[in-house]
Amino acid sequence: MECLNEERIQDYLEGTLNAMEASLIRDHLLACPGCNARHKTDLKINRHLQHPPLLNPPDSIIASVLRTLYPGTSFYFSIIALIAASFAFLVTWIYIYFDFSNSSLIQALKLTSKSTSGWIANLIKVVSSVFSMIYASFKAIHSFVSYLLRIDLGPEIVRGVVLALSMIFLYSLIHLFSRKFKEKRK
Amino acid sequence: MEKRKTILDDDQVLIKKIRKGNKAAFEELMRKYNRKIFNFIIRMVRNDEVAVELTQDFFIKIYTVIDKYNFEYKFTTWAYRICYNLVIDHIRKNQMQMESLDGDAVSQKEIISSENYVKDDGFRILSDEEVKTHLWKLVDGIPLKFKEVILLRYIQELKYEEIADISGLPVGTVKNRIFKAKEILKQEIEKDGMLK
Repeated sequence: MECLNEERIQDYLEGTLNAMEASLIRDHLLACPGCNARHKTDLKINRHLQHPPLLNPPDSIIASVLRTLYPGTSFYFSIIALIAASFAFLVTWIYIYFDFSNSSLIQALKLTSKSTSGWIANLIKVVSSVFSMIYASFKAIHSFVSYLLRIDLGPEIVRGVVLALSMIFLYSLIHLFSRKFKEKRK
Repeated sequence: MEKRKTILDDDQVLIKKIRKGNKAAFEELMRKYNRKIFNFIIRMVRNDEVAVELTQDFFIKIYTVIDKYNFEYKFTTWAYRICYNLVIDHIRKNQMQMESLDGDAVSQKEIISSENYVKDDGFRILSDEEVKTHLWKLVDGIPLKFKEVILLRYIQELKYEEIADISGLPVGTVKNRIFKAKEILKQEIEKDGMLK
């Protein structure tokens, strides 16, 4: 077999030859010191190329892409939403708790409605509006906390725990405030 | 382009999830390819800031066109083609590395002086790691048309056929360019006496 040219050695190293050709070249490399030396040099270059020194990309790449593709609620919008929802929530609770009509809320509803069906309709409306306000507060607090902590509170369990804790905190504040207010009235 | 059928691979499972709006799946995909993509880009553009910017652009582009991905094909080939086009467009627009685009000669200024590797006694005793570092610095300096195929072959670990798909070149040309690139590298490294 004739001495190998560079292209042939590269083909052999890249594994692009068939089994027969590869076998012939292997035999020739064992017998020919010149080709063997060139093969060894090429082998070294190939080995170094196959294991490139890789740089570690900055962590900011992934964070930045995620921020661009999945934008969270903006800071100011979070604050406004939080204040608005908390205010609505507070007003509702105060209204229910202090019973501004000097009787129970249900009583007030009874007085304002002429029939039993009207009374039930009003009750449903109140329950529904209170629920909506609570839900709005949940969402506002959630987005606000997400923004402050700079993390995605995506998983439902985490979200639920955060919201429940937020609600307990809000309810305690309202309770404290209402008790003091009642004491003052007395 | 290499066609794939029936069973979805890991990447394709992630793509299905991404299409459904799963943020964690997209993050996983980014973490998987971030390093290779960044290294390919940084070696092509040779500028840290631009490489970061282009890597971000690449992932944003992938996300925006993910609905166009065809599950019959391998994800990496599709993604690397997007990456390749992005980088080539950037280089052309900014007319970077003009000497590499135009000339076939190795850019000498980019190659480390071999004198750095000569010891006081004149012998060049280098560890494998040093030789590798030197070799890859030589890769940075070779003409773009050779460098791109070397990077696709050895950083992205693609086959000749995949490189041909991505770059739009015939397989024979890809093979030839890789061969010539290695010849250039070999000549340079032998000139420096680093493989003795």
